Parts: sequence; structure tokens; C-alpha cells
Amino acid sequence: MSNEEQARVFASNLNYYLDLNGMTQIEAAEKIGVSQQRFNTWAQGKAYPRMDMIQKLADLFGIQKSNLIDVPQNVHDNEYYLDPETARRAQEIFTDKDLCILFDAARGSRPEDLQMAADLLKRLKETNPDG
Amino acid sequence: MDDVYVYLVPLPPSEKEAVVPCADGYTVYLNSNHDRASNIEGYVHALKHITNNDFEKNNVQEIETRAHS
Repeated sequence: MSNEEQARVFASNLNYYLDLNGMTQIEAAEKIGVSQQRFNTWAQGKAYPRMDMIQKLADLFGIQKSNLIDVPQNVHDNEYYLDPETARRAQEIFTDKDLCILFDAARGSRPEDLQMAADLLKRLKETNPDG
Repeated sequence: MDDVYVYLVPLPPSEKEAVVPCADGYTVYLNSNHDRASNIEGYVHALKHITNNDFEKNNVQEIETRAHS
């Protein structure tokens, strides 16, 4: 793979994990201690970061470095939820401090099913805040 | 070891269980529309999330891929 291709694959993976974690380039750049301009060159596939920066990004997203380096097909093999919208909803429900729910749901679950359960559990939690 | 509270609630059919942190441990909600075998599988899955410290992690897709492997 050429350097240009490698940078493009990295950019695609980086943008995917930013989206999945609901994070902006600015937030991620601040968290790993690089300038927004430098981060943006990675996200646009114009430059390829050093390995220590890739490690910082992997730690930030809670993933392996290979998830950022390898071609997207390999990334998608590591995904549980099949529907991207379901994955996004599951991530939102987990990240929401008032909910923070992990499900044992089928891979093909619909986003509205997760939301329905989250709404039910939220009501139960409000009824019994200690439980 | 934290306390684990278990409740049966009517979740949508595609969901076996849901687990959430609470004041002194965790609450596990099992699907009351599922049979006992499914409830046990769901409970074991919830314990996996708890013992793997999954609530300290960030990425749901990664968490669930590992929990279901």
C-alpha cells in the first residue's frame, strides 16, 4: 500500500471512530495534545501520524492500533451491531450518564428497540433512584 | 464485590437483558418475555460486563464484540 493510500485508510478509520464516539476533531486533538490543524491533516488523509500518536488515539477510543491502521473491512469485522444506526443509538445510550446501559441484544436489533428499552429503564430508575 | 440486583421486566423481543450501574453495585434487567434459559444466558452476559469492567470503557461495538466472542 502506498503512503497516500495508507493515509487515506487511516483518515477513514479515524473519522469513523470520531463519529462512533460522538467526538469532534477539536475535542480529540485537545485530548491527545496536538494542534487542531495537525489533527485535521490526519482526518483529511493529507498526513500520516507517528506511531505514538496512533497509540494515543487508540487509547482515547478504547481500541487497538490496528483498528486505525488496517483497511475498513477489518474494522467492520470487529463490529457487533450490524445496523450503523443501532450501533450509534447503543453508543448514545451507553455514554448518557443518566442511562449508562449495556444490553445483551441481538446483532440485528433495531435502534427503536434499544430506545424503547432505554426509555423503560429510565422510568424505572426515576421510580426507584437507588435500584 | 458489588451488589447485583436482578429484575424481570418486559423488554423488546430482541433483547435478553440490560445492565446498569447503581448506587452500590449493578442492576440487571432480564426480559420477562423470554424463557428461563434465555434469562440465565442474559444474566451470565451481564456478569461478563461487570467482571470485565466494561463500564470503564468507551466503545460499545468493541465491548459487545468481546462480550459475545
